[in-house]
Amino acid sequence: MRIETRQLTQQFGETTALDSLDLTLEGNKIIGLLGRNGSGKTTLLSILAGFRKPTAGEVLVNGEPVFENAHVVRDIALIREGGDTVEESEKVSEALRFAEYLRPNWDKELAGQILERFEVPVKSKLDQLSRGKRSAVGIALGLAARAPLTMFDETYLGLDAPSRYVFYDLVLQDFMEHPRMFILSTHLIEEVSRIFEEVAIIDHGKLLIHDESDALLARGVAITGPQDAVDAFITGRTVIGERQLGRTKSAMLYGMLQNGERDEAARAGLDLEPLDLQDLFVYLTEPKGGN
Amino acid sequence: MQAVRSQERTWRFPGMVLKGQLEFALIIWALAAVFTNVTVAVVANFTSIRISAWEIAAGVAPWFVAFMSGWVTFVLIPMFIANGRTRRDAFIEWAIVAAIYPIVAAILTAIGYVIEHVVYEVAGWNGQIDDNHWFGSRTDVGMILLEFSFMFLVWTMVGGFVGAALYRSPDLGWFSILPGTILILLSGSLDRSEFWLFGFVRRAVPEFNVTSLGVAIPLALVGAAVAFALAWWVVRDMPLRNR
Repeated sequence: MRIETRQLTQQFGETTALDSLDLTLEGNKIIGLLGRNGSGKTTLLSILAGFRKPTAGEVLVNGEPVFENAHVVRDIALIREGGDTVEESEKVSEALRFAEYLRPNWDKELAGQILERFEVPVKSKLDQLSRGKRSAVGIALGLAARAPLTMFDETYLGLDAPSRYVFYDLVLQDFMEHPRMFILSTHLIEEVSRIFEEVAIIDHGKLLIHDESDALLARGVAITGPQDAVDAFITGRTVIGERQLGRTKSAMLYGMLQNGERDEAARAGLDLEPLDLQDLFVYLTEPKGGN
Repeated sequence: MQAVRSQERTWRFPGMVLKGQLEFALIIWALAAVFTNVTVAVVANFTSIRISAWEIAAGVAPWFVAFMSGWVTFVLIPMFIANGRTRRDAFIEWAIVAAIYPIVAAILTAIGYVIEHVVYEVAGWNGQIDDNHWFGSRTDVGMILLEFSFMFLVWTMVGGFVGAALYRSPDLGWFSILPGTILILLSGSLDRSEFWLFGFVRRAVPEFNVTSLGVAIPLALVGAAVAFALAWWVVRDMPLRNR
């Protein structure tokens, strides 16, 4: 699976949702798509799935255009927040019936297992379900489609924390058994980042950064130790956050440390740890953040 | 994992959609048939029966047909797209449904007339059908089928166009009712009401006989074709809403 966007642009009247976005994603991986509200994530995923025709630019999946390409779109599943593959006035069983009818790789058994696990009554109408249960329906529809490109756009926001962890486990398990490309768009960076192999961050419709998770996290470091030692070490460096508890201070630096600098920190009694993806994300996407 | 690629057509005969639509139509038809005949039986206790009750039900039928077609384009086409199908494939499948549905609906309508004929004969009622039909009696099944098939065809296409327009734009979509109404009026020779347009045409050109099949059928086909084209114009790059 290879996705390529070239100069992808989407206008909504005066608003530019995507601004000449160039992005290449390749391989069977779980990829995190991060961005602030209104950054263009949903628009990007919608265009990738052929849900919308872009204003300009192009999207290629395995070298072929996506929009109205039957052989490409049948290999793509995008589940947006509400799991909108069916009208809300319809029953869950209808959504499953249509997915089975339309999806070439539909796994009926898996869909049933997921709905049972989340205790979703299949005879209920979607608009009678709680937001969490509707999210669970979306998860079942997305995973059981077994599409080579499976995308979830905040689908799991309605779930409580234990249920979200069940979802992450389900994604990992299904990915191991049926490797394919997953793209997960989320705000819950801290809890889901552990399953991302790659991360793309978009901001104001442009690609801010795209890298492997480990490489991205290596761009920053958290330093903890006595306040004086930390203050001395961070002087002249790009500090993206500081926390203090008594005389112990922790500072987050953006930029890779050379071996010599790491030795210097060790000699000063400082602990070095990778940054949280969320801290890095906040820094990179804050209004005056650097690249 | 990669799905097997093939070069064969990507749409399929919409058996499931058609089955669902026809089952629902059959239920509504059965309810209407029972309701109209029972109502007439009750009314007959108080007054003499001078009209055909099924005629009233048949007058509602085009609206029902249009609504069901609109429901398909409003609900099912987006559902197809959300499940990895193209607009083109979904539209072809709707078009198949929209071609078959009017014929089945016309058959049910004709059966309704025949049932009413039998009931009225047995009960000795004298309710008459309107005189502006292509058919002169409830048992003229061939002409009943012909008239209602073409009338339902136009209404089905217009309903599909309006449904798609309303999905595409909940605000501007309402404006589709205007061209839809014009198309139905233009094909109005199939409607039993005497629209002003045809009254005017008839007065200006007496030889323009709207009950002539040679005029009415081409008019209906043109109306249906235009509505079909408008529906595709709306659907061809319709974005999926984000709920």
